[in-house]
Amino acid sequence: MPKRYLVFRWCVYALATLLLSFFQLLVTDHISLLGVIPFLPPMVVGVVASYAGSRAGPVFALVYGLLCDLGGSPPAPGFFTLVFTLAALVAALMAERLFSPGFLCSLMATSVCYLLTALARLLLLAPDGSAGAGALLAAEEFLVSLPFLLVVFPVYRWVHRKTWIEY
Amino acid sequence: MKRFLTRHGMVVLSVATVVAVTLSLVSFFSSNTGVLTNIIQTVSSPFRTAATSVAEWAGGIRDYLTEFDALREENAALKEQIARMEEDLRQAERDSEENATLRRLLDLREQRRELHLESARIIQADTSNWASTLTLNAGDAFGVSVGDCVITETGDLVGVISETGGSWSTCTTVLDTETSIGAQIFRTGDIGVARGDFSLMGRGRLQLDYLDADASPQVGDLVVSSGLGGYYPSQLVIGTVEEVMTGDDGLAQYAVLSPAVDLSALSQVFIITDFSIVE
Repeated sequence: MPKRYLVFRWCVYALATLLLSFFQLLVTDHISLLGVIPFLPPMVVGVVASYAGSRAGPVFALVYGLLCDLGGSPPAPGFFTLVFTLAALVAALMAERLFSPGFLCSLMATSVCYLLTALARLLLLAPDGSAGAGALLAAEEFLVSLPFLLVVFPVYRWVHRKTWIEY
Repeated sequence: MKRFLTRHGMVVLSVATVVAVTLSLVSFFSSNTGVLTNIIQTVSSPFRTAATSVAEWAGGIRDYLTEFDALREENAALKEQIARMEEDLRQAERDSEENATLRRLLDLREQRRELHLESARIIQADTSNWASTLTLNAGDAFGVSVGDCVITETGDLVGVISETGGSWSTCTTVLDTETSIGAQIFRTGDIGVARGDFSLMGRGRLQLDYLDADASPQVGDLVVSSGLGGYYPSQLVIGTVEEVMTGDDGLAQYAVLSPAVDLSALSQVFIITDFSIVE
């Protein structure tokens, strides 16, 4: 695959991700359902992994996780870098083996990413004895975030269709 | 799959682990924010400010359209409140004069309360379900350091600075589970610890814990910072008691607090960079 094409492709992915980050800042951060705010990063990782595959998906997740760690407030240093990479790897492998790319594939990959992120968070909360409350919050967060797959999925499907070249 | 995991997958995971460990080590050994974090935060700062401004503008328009009647009622109620507070203020001035006279007679040290404040604007409210933090546009360069208290213009406690960079800082709010502040019930003087709780954070509430067995908190009680240990200034308003609950053991009691500050309506805050209090 030509290098120039790869650079173009990932630039478009980066722009789409930037756009969704603004969407999170301007829209979803101001929506609260039963006191829970939608959290889109695991969804971004899941959907991109389902389209980019098990080679490029985890690399995207690594860079995206690193930016989340450096620009946000991670529960532990390097948390998102490690968890998102692992989640993208698992989600992409599952997507490649069990589903053909599409909404269902992205939904399953997203669910895996939320599950692994939640498990990692609970691992950190366990020593404080807050794992029970954390598990409930993680489940609520997943349910509240899930409708936004209807926004995130079409964005990356468009990017994928516009930038995909079969070699 | 096995071949993939042993080649590409393991390589990417190893890189992620190395990056995560490096970030942990930098965070552990550095008393200040890492260079990379500082760069990312500084570069993203104008974008966050722009996004926050757009959100505030949109919120303003929505409020103008939907809350006009409510604001009119609130305005009338506030006028009444001001009238009552003016009377209280006049009484307080008379009490202060009397207090000063009595202190002179008893040869007590004069009460003093000096707070060195640095004004800051909120450039982003980091609204996650797992943490409650605010990014402020004042950092090391303005004398801000980790542990400084952040208050509103009326002295209500917003939170504590948890991270600083060159021109920015992160304030962990009173709702966050990482926050733990020595607190006092103003009416009774009972001492406790005000801290964030996962189950309450979503409701915008916090918990007053570790109360003495004979403490008697009541709904509506004002809770302020105790200032014990001299780490945080005293008498900063944390919130009011909303519910008094009994712990799982059936013995210890705790209170659910409604914070004095409305975090969603904040745009300007003040950081206490230094303080000197004699009570």
